Amino acid sequence: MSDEAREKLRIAEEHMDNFYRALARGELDKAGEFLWATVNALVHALALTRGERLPAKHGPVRDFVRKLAGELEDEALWDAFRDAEKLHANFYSPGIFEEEELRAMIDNVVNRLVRGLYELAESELRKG
Amino acid sequence: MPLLVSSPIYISDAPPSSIADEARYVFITVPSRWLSKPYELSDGDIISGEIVEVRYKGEELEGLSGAPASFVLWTVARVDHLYIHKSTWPLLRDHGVVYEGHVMVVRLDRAIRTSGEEVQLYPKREIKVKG
Repeated sequence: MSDEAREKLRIAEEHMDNFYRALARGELDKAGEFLWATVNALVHALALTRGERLPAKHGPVRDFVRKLAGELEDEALWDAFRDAEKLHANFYSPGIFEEEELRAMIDNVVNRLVRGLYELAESELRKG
Repeated sequence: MPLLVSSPIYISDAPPSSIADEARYVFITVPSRWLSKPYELSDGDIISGEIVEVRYKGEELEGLSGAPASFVLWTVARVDHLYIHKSTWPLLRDHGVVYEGHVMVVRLDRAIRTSGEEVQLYPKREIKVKG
């Protein structure tokens, strides 16, 4: 499954490239949706490194992150996932959040969740 | 013969808390394979050099070319975020580099690790990269 995990990581990096492009243009709604896509790809990658193939649905991804946050005793990881869900909801209903709220959520998702999931997935792949 | 980086500027709400004493909320990016990875740099290391130019909608802003600039490193998924250091912030702020649409070109020639050790970046060759 490690090849599949690497492919998911590559997909996550593509979504992050799109995130940066949107952020550079100040398109926060789009940036948030690309982050959501990044998070999904990273969760699938991390699950694959652990021998688990998640269905392409929201629920199992959510359950995986909740379990992971518990396992790591990292409540901030779960909070950041909740922010990612809010960014996803905001894309389909723009205007729910003020600009500063969106920026704070984007920071939280990038610096806690994306960074954390990516490091975990890479670490698992290195263990091989 | 340093690292020449061209990157859009990005606006965050705030820098990550562990570097918040030194950094301000605006950052540029560079792929880690050109900076933190080869030089084994870590979060919080200071990256310094000089501004080559800052453009807004293709037009160069006057008064910034040649100015010294420092950044604080923070790495996310193989991308180095270089947050504007507090010492550089007043210059950029006063030129209005506080919103999206700007592109910054910087020549980065040294890094200072949190241990205080100084490292020259690409002293034997100029490397040009896009952030």
